[in-house]
Amino acid sequence: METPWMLRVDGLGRRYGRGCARCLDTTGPGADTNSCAECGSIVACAALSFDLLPGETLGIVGESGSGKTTALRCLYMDEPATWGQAYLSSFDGGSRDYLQATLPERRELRSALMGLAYQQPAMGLNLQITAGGNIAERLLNVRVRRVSEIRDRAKYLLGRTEVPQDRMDDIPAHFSGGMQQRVQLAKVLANSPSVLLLDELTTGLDVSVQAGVLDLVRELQEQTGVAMVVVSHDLGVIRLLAGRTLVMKNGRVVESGLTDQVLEDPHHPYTQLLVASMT
Amino acid sequence: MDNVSLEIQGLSKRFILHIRDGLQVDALHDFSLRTRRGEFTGLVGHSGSGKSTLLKCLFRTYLPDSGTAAYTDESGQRTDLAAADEHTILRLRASGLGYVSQTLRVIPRVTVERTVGRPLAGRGLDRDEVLRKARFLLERLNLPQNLWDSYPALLSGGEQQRVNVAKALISEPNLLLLDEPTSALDSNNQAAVVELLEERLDGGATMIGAFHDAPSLQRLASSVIRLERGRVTQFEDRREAVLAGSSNVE
Repeated sequence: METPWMLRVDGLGRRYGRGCARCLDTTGPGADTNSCAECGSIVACAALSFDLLPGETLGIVGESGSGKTTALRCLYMDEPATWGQAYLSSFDGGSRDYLQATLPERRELRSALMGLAYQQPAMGLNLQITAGGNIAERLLNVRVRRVSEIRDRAKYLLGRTEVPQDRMDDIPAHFSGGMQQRVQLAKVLANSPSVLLLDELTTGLDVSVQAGVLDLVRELQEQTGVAMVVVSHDLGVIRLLAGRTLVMKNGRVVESGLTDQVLEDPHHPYTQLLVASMT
Repeated sequence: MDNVSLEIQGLSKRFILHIRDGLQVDALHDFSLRTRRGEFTGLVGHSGSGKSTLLKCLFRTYLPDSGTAAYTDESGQRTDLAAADEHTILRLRASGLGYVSQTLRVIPRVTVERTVGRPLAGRGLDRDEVLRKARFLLERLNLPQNLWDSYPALLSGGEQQRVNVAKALISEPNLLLLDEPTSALDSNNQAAVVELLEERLDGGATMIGAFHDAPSLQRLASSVIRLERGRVTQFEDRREAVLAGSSNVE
């Protein structure tokens, strides 16, 4: 049976350290800290729950220590979650917690069903092989074998992300930041994932380059209908891409709602402060 | 025949500014209105009177504190705009519920005609069809052709306002909320906007609009509401005035 959501996250959390019974009580926005007063463990995020519908973009905004990046890394299984479950409609019809998937299943999840684009392209790319090679690697992960098919698909994706044809056989280590991000986007979209996670995609890029990359992301979403979670500290990026937004502080969600409503009619004191500081 | 498309009851909105030590601002108090398909309700009042607040509450950019706003679409489906969940509101905004703000929110690197066409993305129309519709509206709004593939950030205020109107009209909204959409336009261009709105109203759309310019309001509004400090101080139902007038003539 089909689920109405593409991704369902239920009580996701991540703790570093041995943990104790008081970790959750002594951390969070009320305590203004991520660090447990009793045992010193760090609660990077906790109690994160949301539904992501097909084709939807959810924004997660917050400052350092908010837990937004940790949440993404847990969802992509770069790190093990301490608490919670996550379900993907495209994985066993959403009936199983994919965070508990077997190793071979994990590979499919991370290569084909989901994609994560990192703030540092170097984390998402193999800088030792060509741009085309990076995409080929992704396709090979899902057992696409014919060389011509791989090359055609790589060409197509790089074309879509506006990476010039003549750079396909170049090594991304020499590309500009913006170009590297485009190759990363082509790579994460290679197997047409159902969910795309974007972690501070344009942070660190020049403003004019940012505009180009954001425009590309919007267009790609319009064309592919991929569901996205966009993490950013930049309210402008969130406003441009996300229909709904979560605001995080000290690892917890303090406010959630339609993006324009969160930005123009913030209710939580922290959100009001954030909006007042940035717009 | 009950043609009521929007029934607002007791809508109120208050802001609590935590960064100002919990200062409370009552922006809208106990607003009610019933309006039908094909009707335009005008809003007048000084700035800060609550006009924008009302419009933003209906579009859900503001979250009302109390009251209801029952919207009935063409298929008879009823939704309380004040209380509906976010996904429902997003769906409505994608088709049926429109909003024209005073200023255009410019998206970098998107041309004028693509900006106007954006609301039609994901509807399965091909690019040329979308461009055709966008250009048609831009032409009706007297926007010179040489600006169509230019960038909105480079346009004048009046040009940007017309792009904004075109963008809101392209998806043929059923309920359209307008917040001073003609404030920077000369009378010629104001008339062009009014004409397009009249056509939409003839098509059965419902509109609520804050307009400064009296001529536009004269042409469009079947009732006018005056707001002062978040409350209704005057309500003029022009339908009745028109009916009274015609009975006098007879």
